[in-house]
Amino acid sequence: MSVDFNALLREVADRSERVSLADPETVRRTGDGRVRRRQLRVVIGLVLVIALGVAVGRSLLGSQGGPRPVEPIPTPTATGSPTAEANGGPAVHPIETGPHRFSAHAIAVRNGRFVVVGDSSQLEEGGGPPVYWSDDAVQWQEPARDGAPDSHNLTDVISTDSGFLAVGVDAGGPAAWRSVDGQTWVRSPVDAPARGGTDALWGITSTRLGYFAWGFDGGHAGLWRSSDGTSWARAGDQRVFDLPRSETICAIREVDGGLTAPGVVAPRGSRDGRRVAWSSTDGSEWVLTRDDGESTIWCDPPAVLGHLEASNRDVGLVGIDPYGEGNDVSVTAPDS
Amino acid sequence: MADRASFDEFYLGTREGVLRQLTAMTTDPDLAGDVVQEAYTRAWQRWARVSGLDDPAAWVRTVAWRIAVSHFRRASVARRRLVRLGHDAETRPQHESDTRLDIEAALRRLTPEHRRVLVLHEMVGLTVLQIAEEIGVAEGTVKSRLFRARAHLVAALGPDYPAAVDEPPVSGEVGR
Repeated sequence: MSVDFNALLREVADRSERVSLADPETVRRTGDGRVRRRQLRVVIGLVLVIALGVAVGRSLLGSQGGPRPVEPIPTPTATGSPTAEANGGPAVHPIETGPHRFSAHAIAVRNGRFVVVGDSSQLEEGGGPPVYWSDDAVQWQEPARDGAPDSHNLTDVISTDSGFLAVGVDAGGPAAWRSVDGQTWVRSPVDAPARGGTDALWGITSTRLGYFAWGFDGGHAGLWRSSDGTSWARAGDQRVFDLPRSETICAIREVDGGLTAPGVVAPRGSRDGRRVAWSSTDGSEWVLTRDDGESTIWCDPPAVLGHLEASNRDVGLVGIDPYGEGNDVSVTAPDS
Repeated sequence: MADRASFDEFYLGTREGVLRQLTAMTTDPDLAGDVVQEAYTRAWQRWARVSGLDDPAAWVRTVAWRIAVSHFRRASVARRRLVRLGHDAETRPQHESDTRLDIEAALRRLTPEHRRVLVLHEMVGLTVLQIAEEIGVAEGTVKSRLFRARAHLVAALGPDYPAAVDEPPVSGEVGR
């Protein structure tokens, strides 16, 4: 006798019958929206470059009575990058992670120090550190011994006046950490029952009303708030985020008169989502202000929402690619 | 307009099959729905190129798989520890049959790449060569993974299931 592998697999595949996919128009509209946003960013980038060029040109030709010899532009020093591009494009430096895989999720910089957080979990067992730091964006270091976050998966990081704040997931679910220097990380308590599973913090931001982190808790969207990043409490009555559908908070943004939390809701088991938004004037009391927005599959991609770039004067613009192999860091030198 | 019509026809004609394949590969229908939806969205963004491929559905399947792997990695730590704590059963729908749960549990004990190869061969019906081309590895690697996947699956299913994996029964004869 032999095992009918096809029948076994079909048995499992039958579970997909309860999943409904979006209609074709929604799929196309979502794709078109992304293309438009990408084009808009390109146009804005070109306008900024042109404006910068005009400003520099005027300063060189301006009030000194005529053009002066322009100092040669120094050639960026080779950094040992294995894939530095000769055409002036960004150089790409993989973070050396030894035997561990690492998929970068977010980057931040403070006082010249870059910090990249990501997912180092292995599919089978264990994993490496979920954070690396660097002062030149080329040579990346692991956290100090006994100073790494007790997790293999950090999802977002920001810099603050006093260091870095990071969020992610650990054995119990939503988790947060803080660090003064990016080398030693300390756990910051998060008000959430330890359920684990898919519960996690997915994003963090700084606003004039304090720090906010969002994610999933108990299968629903959740929002947390902290005044200084040392501990995280629920941002008001969470029932406002618990709709009779599956819901997700995508980001927290400052607007005139307070904050807004764009999100997506969809019937359970469905991909036919709609954009929604919650708003708050003080960060504590939140109301659903828009529940019938345009159809979409889910949040905008990380390229739109994520913290994927950071820069300082000496190193230049440093970016990570959420769609790349995972541990590549691109560096656009200040002069390029 | 013609682009829209051709994409809609492709999407409606292939989405159910790709969703079923990804559900078997991931053992998670909700995750499969998410990644399949995302893959089709990316297909539309590149439809001028994707539509010209020999097998656009294979492109969608590959993209969906890559997105799924990223999800696996993101959730694997918490999920693995949850299983250790014995909470995993609470997250399962109670109406699922014991047989199906047994099969899913056995499939989950395979590595994701073994599940992928098994689905592509047994369910999609690709030959070893076709699988090698789709996932970008050597034919020998595909054969090895297929053999191990079958052996491990039989072992994971336990003695109640008949086992007949005593040779590398990998052939290239299965058509699409």
